Amino acid sequence: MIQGKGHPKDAFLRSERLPHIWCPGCGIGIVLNAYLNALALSGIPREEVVLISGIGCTARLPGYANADSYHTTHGRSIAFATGMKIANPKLHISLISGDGDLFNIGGNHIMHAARRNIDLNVICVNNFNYGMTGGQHGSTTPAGSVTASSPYGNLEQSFNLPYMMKAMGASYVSRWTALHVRQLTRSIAKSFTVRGFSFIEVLSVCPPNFGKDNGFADAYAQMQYFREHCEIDNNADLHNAGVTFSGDRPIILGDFYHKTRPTFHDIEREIIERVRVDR
Amino acid sequence: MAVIGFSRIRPMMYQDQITRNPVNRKHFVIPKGTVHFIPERCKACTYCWHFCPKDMLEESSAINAMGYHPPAVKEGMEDSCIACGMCETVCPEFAIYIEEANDRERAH
Ligand code: SF4
Ligand code: SF4
Ligand code: SF4
Repeated sequence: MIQGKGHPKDAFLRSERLPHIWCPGCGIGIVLNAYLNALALSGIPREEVVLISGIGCTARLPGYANADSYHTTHGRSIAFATGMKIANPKLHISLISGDGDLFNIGGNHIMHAARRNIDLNVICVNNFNYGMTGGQHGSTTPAGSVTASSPYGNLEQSFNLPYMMKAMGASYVSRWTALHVRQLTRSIAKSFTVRGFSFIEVLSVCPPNFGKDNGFADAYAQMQYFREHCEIDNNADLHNAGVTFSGDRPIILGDFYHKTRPTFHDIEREIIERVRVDR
Repeated sequence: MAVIGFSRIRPMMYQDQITRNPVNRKHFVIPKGTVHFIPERCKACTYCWHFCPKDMLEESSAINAMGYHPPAVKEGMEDSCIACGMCETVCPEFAIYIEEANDRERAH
């Protein structure tokens, strides 16, 4: 066996903090890996990169990246990032947080950031439940799924995140899984170049909670489900692209939507210039 | 920094079978890689050995400080790695990586 001297990503990591906190097989580590790959591909200098998160398992991610990173309060990462981007538009701000943080607690913020087309790169790692607190259901838990707080099956309909974000006005929308690492890396690299609000959903695995409660014997079983049941359709009708683990419908992935429209910052600058001239 | 497996066009292969054979295949080279392990980081999620297209990795009998069995290269398959980078990219723990060798084998 060849003992590695150092992982090629160590320079981008606070490697002294590894092994990280996430459970064996948790998809969040894969997203971190893909994010760092995308960063290397894009060639953006590290001083211009900022990672922001809220609270939850995924929200621990920025703490492992060797860049400026902020672990903010629950659901408020978007508000924090909006202020930072307006104060310093040169920054590449990535917001990497979980479905609970971004869409349950922070649902209102993300909706309006997309509407205003704030130039942020949002990566939402969707594990379909509240992993950190023991696996309760939330707005992304598929209908019928068993969780700690829906033992007889979730009676609610879940959010379809790409559909929702496109409707709210996002400039770029895509969805991959923790298994589709190459496509995910390309999408993250692309989101760095998108002017405006970009949104990437990553369907992830949470072996001890959502996985265990919904018939996946281990982490690999849920990854294998992704391998067998995902279909890539970049032109999908997003209305019908909700996620289900019932096995009767494919999970639709893709680089769904990219349309440039003026960002909040463009319009803000224009107004400032106009007002200055008028005076 | 080099990022493995993104830029080069290669014949599509799965478990040693060429699934799509480009007409200009003789111009392609099959890269070779060496697998490096950082076993103390591994949590034995099983992804690297399940998703390696060459099926050349396996759970070892070694045990790390956290109590997990990290992967190892299967006996006799030391030269099988095609540096596709799948194990490296899918590992959630930054516990495995590939170094691509310079002397590449010509595909025949
Ligand atoms: S609880 Fe779930 S999401 Fe949280 S670290 Fe564990 S596997 Fe990952
Ligand atoms: S993918 Fe990484 S953590 Fe998982 S078994 Fe392989 S080396 Fe260990
Ligand atoms: S790079 Fe990793 S996954 Fe690819 S052939 Fe080599 S050992 Fe297998």
